[in-house]
Amino acid sequence: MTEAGEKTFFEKALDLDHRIIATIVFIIISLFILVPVSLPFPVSQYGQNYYNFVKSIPEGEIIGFMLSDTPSTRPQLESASVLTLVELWQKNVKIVFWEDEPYGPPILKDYIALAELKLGRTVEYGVDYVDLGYIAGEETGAAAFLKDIRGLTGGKDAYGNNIDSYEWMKGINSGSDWEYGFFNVACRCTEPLYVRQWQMPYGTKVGSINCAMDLPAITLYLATGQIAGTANGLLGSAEIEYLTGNIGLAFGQTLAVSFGGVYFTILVVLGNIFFFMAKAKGRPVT
Amino acid sequence: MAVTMGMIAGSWICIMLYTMLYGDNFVSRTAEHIYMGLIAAYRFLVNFDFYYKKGVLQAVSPGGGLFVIPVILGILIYARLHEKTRWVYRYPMAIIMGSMLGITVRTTVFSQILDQVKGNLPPIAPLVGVPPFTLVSNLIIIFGSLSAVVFFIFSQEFRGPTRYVHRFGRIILLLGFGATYGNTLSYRYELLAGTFLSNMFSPPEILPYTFGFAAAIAIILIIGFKTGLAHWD
Repeated sequence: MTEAGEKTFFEKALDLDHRIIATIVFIIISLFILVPVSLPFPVSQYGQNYYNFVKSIPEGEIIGFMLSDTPSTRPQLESASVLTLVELWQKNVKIVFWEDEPYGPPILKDYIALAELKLGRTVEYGVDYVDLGYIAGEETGAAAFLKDIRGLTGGKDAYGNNIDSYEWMKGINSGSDWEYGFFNVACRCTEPLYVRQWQMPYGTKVGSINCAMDLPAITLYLATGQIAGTANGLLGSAEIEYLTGNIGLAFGQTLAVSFGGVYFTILVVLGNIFFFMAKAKGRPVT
Repeated sequence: MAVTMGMIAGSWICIMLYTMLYGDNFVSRTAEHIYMGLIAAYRFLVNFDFYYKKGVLQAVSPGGGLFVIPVILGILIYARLHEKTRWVYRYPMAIIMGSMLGITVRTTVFSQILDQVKGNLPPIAPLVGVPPFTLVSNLIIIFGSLSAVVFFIFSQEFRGPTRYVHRFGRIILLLGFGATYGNTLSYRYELLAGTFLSNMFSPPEILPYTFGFAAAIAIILIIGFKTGLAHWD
């Protein structure tokens, strides 16, 4: 403060009300969603590896897919999830779904409907996929399910049908019966759970669809190959859209998030400059 | 696309929840209570359905005798709702914790210790026959990991040259925390942008409802703050 007790410009800037910061974030995000501009878009190694993993799955393979997206993370992960399903069903891959979050079952139905639109055909329950429903119990539930599917589900799918009534399901009863698998864990950081209970004990090659927040926690799993690839958050979704030629929901958001990030970076840089300038002038700063 | 009541409710609840950023107020609290109530009810319903179909029905089916145990343990969880029977719920909780720990530890040594250590060393992080950038990255991975481990040795004081290793480990840890923070921040922006796009701005026909309601809420809050019914904290 000055001798007269008034705050200097730097002190005022450092004490900027968080409501003003929030309002500017709202304006930036809204603006770039409503009025998008074109920017160059490089595909990261993570996105490319995930795409290559999806492409490496052979025609007609039977795979496991744990889908536990949530309403809040859905806008980020919808594109990656739906386009993965589209790529798989284009190769007539048969998918065994289950969910370890209560939000999973209704979101799965939406994703299948969206995949059908992209595919231009309907996918048939019992032929293209089977849904084994919600499996409670987090890690213990997942371990029990992957060890003995019929033992935990009572041999019934999500709709109460006998899973042995589907011819291709007869040889499927544990994690070891799938050479390839996917998990969409939203932002719960439960990727290590599926490495511990699925990839490691049964040797299944797994791909992850997860929020950006989870990336530091799974970087080493990606380096060691324990997770074959990740569609990492919104950027991962946008990359899959780009690589599959289905530009959509994720691309618009990526632009808004990028400019939101630029705004925040500017705030951090200015905050540091103002802090040191105020400190150099001998002002008390907090 | 036709605008449905569900879309409008989603958009309006989002706006009401975001008013919390402008101070704790009755609008955000109302939305919060509606949201929490709905979520709790939905989660209870889905979990109860699982408990009934995969537990109770299997327990009464031929050969499903062992399922009686988890069914009883599940009921005992609710013993905590009554003062005199509260102690009983500790038994199912102890079994849940114990089995969870056992299941987790079973493969942790391999999947999260041995394989992770291997990931930090050659040949997964090779030093020979790689481009210069990869070489530098791998050197940072190898020495950064080792130094970060050294930081957690508390049983001796680091003097002489070893203190630089300790200091380097601290820098590596701080860089790691910074990267995690950056990713978390990016994730929060993604949540915000996703909510805006899918709940408030899509389909475009919903925009008048979204902005109209946002304006109404702004007026209500301004009146609330001016009259002292809400507080600008």
